[in-house]
Amino acid sequence: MTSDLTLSITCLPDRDEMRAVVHEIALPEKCYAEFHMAVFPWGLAFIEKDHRGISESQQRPPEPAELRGELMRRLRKFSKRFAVPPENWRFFRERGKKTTELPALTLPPSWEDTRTLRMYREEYDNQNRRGHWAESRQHAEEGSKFLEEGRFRKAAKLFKQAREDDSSYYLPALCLAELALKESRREEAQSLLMEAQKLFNKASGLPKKQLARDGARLESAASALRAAAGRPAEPSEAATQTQAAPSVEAAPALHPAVSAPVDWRPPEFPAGLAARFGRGPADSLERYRLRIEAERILTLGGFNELLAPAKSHIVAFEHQIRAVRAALRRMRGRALLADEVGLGKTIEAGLALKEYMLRGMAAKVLVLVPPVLAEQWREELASKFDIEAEVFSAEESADGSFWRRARVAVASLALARREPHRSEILAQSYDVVIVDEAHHLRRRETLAWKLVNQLKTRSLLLLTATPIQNDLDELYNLSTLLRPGQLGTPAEFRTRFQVRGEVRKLRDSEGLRALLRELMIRHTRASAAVTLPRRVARTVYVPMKEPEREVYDKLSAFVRKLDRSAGGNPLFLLTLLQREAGSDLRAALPTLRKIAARLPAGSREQLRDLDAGIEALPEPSKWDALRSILAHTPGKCLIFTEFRETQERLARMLVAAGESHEVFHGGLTPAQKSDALARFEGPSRLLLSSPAGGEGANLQFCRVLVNYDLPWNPMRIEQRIGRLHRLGQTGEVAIYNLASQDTVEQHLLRILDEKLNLFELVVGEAETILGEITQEKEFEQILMETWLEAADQREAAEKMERLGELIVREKESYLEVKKLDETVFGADYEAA
Amino acid sequence: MTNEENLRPFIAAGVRTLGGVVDEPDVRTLDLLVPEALRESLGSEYLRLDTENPPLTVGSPITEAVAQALSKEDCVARAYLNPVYLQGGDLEAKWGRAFRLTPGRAAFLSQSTEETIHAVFHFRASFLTDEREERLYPVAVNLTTRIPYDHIIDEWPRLFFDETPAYDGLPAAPVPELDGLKPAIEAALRSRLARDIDSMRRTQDKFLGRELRRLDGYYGALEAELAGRERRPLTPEQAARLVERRRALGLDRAKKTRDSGEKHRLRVELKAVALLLVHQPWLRVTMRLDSRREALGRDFFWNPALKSFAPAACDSCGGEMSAFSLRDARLLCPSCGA
Repeated sequence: MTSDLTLSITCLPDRDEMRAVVHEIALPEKCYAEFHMAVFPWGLAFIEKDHRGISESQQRPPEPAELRGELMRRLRKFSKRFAVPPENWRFFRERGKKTTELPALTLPPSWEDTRTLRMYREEYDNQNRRGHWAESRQHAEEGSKFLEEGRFRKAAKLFKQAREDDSSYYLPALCLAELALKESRREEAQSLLMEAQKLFNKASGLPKKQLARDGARLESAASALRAAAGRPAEPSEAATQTQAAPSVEAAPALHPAVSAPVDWRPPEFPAGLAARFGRGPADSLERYRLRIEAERILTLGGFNELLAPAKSHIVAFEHQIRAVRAALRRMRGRALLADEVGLGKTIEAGLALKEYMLRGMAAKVLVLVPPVLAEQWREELASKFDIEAEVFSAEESADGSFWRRARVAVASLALARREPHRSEILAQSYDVVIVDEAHHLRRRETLAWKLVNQLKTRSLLLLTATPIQNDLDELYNLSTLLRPGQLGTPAEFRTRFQVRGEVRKLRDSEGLRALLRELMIRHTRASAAVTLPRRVARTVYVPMKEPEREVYDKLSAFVRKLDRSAGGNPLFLLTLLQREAGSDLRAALPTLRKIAARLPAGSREQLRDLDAGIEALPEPSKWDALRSILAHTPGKCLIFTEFRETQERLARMLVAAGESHEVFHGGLTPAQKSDALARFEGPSRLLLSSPAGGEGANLQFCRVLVNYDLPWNPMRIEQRIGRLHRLGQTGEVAIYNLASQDTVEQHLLRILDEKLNLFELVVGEAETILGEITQEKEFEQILMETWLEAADQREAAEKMERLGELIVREKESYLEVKKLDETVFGADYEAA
Repeated sequence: MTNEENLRPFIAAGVRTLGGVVDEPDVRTLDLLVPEALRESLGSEYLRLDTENPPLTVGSPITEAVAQALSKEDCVARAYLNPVYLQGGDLEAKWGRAFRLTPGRAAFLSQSTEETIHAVFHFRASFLTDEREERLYPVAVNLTTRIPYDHIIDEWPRLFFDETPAYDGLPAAPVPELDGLKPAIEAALRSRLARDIDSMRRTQDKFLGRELRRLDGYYGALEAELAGRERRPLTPEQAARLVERRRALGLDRAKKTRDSGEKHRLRVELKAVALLLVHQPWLRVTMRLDSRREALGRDFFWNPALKSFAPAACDSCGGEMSAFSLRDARLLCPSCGA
């Protein structure tokens, strides 16, 4: 037989493997065909270049004669396939030495693993697995025949055998589910079906048609299960006559193997490099080598190695780094960050965002938060992560330019869900969307949920310490935003995980946790190993001296009158007056004098009266209480006050009392602040600080805090406490709260201490408990409005009591949620 | 690959190259007079660096600062391959081992020595999916043949480059315009990245397939539930609501499916970061190629440094070929010649 086709066989004792390469066959099909023969410790392997598959001939190292025989057999088979006659075979031993017969082949000197070996082994393992699956399939299909005949016992035996053949194959689980359905064991069928679905989702390397068929079979079993769980009522005769038969669309076949698109951009040549191409002076070889080394250092690896922690102005805890890594790598940027309160979810989200930015993956970002937190987020992103964000403010125009312009936009969810903002936001394409307090998305029928569901974004991070507030459906709805179908359909979810009629009772908690671990990260304080020493709070209600009492009551009445006067007065002004009065009546003087010009004549008269009354006051009664505290507490002490007037007065009194102290306020230069803190850590016993002071400063060496007055915002009180009671504190922290009797502060303290137990809560819990109440208004505003609505002290006490009861109810609700959280997530849930 | 041991010499050499002064008083100390380019990032004109406390890493501020400064400017360098033996020996036989004319015969006609240049580009490839990873890839294109020359990359560790040529009397090799070479460079890149891209694409395929199956299962089940409801007796309002619900479900499904596709799209961005022009002498070998119907003289190039012929390109598709046929005065690869 003559032929133009040639089979060239080169045997190269090449490096660590011996290779017989068949190459350069000119084929009518216009392609090359090639196969390699390789010798491995576990046998011979033959791979065809078009990857038809790999087969091994034996499971032990071959003898040279066997090798030769096997090779010849394979060559003959291959050659016959392409009709190359034996006389057209050409053998080459090493380059350039042609022979007419197969030379002696030698085994490689070592069995070292090479990259090719690994590739071959992987392919071999895949084939092996497919081999086991083939066996498993055979048993499963035999069993299915018995199932159809009603011979359940025989079918069960074969299905179990199929499962033993390979437990990673989905088909046995599916067949067992079908058997369970036939035997009306619905719960077991449900569980098996979920298992089969999970394994099916992981299956790869199977023919597309087979996958499509099995997918349809899974679907059919699922439908049968649903039908068995709750059959629809038979339509009445009248209804069938009047109603056109609805078309029931077949469930779409499950996707066969799909291919992710590849977007290849033409390579970029920097202008400088292009200009110097082949022309002019060149850099040295040394420079070139350094440049290549520099590029290696700067190339970004995967998310295994995070860049953000080193580039942020925070010291991240281990659990935070783990959380960020899990969210970006394992959960591929779509995650529910559900750490317990106080563990720094904001830091985790900030780190994730920073990581994306450092890698050039966050050109457009949206942060949706409760209204009261917008500015705080902007500030934290800037100070901790050097991320410049824009907050949507009232001054922004409604033409949508803000949403188009802002690279990192921070806005309230309440605003974003309303038109015209909603449409503008949905028209954008985001790289990252962060939603803080994401439990506000717990209901899928809300506009907020629908907005987030429709956002175009690659990465979505939901932050909440309480993913379940009322019932398990809320958890389902949050999961659906991240990964629709992760927990099945709503009906499947309820069937599998909820006890009928009990929205908070859970079953198959392990199954739920297994599914949640793919999209939720939750650390507890115990698992994050974040513990702090105790803190103990003592509240001192100071009875006012008579002149003080009189002036305070007159001022309060004055404030109420201002509120009710025609035209009103800005609430913040009235609040400020009332707060100053609660701190030290003298602190209210500057504000009173400033507002004099705005007042009508009658009110100005009252004001002058007040002014004179305040000027005539002796030392404040709170000062005696403070002196007593200082006398009985050794060691350093941090005294907070809200107002400069109070601070200056206290400073004068401390000087007169011979107490060494430092003063700290926002008006100091950085150098002065630094000196003051250094002296406090050194020789000075007391630090007298305004709200601006102490931000970020490490004061853990101090263990006594005196709140000479109180901010009306519980979170700011927590922030004050947090100056001392934080990581690094080694001793018990004592907190003294001073409030004059029958003032707003007394009511505030009673609510915070007795109702909210603020001083025993963990950092962040107060915010969570008060979250529902303070969605639209700050707590300060709520408090002031309550005070103003009352005509007198008695009525004020009643209204404050009701506010306190509301807080108690919120707290109870929070504790119930915590209990449910513990049931669902357990003490050992950890997905990072 | 950079490892921690290389970092100290890297920093020392880098600072010197950038115009600073380096003194190494002992094995763990570097005294640096910081060059202008680094003063702002390092915040100092002078630094005494203990390279072991803390140990130098790729993340150390000094490492990063030096690397950033070095990478700011374009790098076009020149080197010379000076082969020991220029003569090729039995070039006809060597040609016969490297190439095959089918059908036909080839015979040696003449040889001459000339200079050639290999342009070796280093590209930083960024692979962007829902993650971003970067890698460096070298590709080489010969400026005489204007086709990719992978062999020089494969042999790179065995080659020794000089700063000056050890040969003279040869005219300088012509340098074509870069624009004309871009298709060849891109072809070389595609070939070099193919395996990595394929591996990444398969990973994304796996994730995408999983997601789409999950979405199919979920929306399929919801649609089946909806169909179940539709089978019951309905008031006109209920029927209308179900129609709307089905429409919304369809839209949601389409959006989520699209989003999944987008999320797992693999984007490959390439940027040239350095160029090394490697000059060397090589032999232009003219062969007479005889098929049954025609004959042709054609030049091939013997590289004495690599001891091999440079690849030849198909006159039709421009692809690299070692077997070819002769037709109408053109050399064609098996695919084009079939």
